[in-house]
Amino acid sequence: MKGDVTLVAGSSGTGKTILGLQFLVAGATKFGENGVYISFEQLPQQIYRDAKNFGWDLRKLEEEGKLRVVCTSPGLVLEREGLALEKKAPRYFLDDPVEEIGAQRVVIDPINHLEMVVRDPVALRQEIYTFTNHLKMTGLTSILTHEIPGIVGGELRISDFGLGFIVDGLILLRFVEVESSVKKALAILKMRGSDHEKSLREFDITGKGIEVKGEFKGKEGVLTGSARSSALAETLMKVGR
Amino acid sequence: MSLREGKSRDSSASSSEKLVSNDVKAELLVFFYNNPGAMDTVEGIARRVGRGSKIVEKNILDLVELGFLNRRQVGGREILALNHSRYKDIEKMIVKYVDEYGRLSRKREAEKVE
Repeated sequence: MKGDVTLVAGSSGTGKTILGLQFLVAGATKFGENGVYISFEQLPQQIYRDAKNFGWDLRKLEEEGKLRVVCTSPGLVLEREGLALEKKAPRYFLDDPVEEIGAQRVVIDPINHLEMVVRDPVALRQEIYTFTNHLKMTGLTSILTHEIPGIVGGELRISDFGLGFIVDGLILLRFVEVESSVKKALAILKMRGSDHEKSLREFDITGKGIEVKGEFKGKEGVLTGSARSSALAETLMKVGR
Repeated sequence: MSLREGKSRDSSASSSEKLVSNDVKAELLVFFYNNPGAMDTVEGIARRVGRGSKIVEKNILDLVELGFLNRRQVGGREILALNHSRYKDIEKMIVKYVDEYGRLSRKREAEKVE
């Protein structure tokens, strides 16, 4: 929802960056909302190249003043000027590119890198809380990506410092093993103030970006990363009894 | 002639000649040309271009003086970024650098053959 901060969590390769870029490209080309993409890992030149695979000309959008692809060090994102007791609101690093193009959307990819800057989980949570509040007060609709460990199966843990409580929305991207093939699942785990979609949806990364498909019908255990047929699960339950 | 002598914005030709003679400056210009959205500290930029902080700092200060990069303070840190209004000038300089480099390489090859 507009003005919200949404966390997109998923393991490496699930499509978090693509989802973030797609959100910005759609904003700039379909909704008249300019955007800023902040990357800690990849250089813009790699991002421009990869985006071309989906038909997105990010350089052109930058030249048109609709997008800014910023690469920086994680520590700078949390740097701010101005104290809480001063009359002026604090200014963060990203306020400059946001103001330069009148951005309404922001993607920070991935937020995990902030853990390298603020090592204490309580302090990190406080920093991110203050930062996300600033994003909201600036009127930005934001996506923070978050890489979670584990490709399939095992324990599913979003973060160690309560990120899920801070954000307004939480989208999980997950690899799923279905009948000996790897598929991708998308689940909306949280969307504050809305009656959101509850079903687990399959999605694909196509030449146009992320394409959400139908529900995983007749399957269960999808979020564990290893889906099985509901009928089989029922039979096993009966046998177990 | 030192680099600082050519800092006038109107003397891009002479600046270019001096940049050609300095690989680190040329590398930094190419980096910012390819990554116009890079906004980082000297240490961050040094890491990305794979050079030492000291040499990068010295050359970045020259590029700031030449008007190709901007610097500003955020919190207690100094951030450097491309001066977007000079993007086309940088492009011309890189083209010239590549031409000059190619010309010199061909000349050296020809001398070797002789």
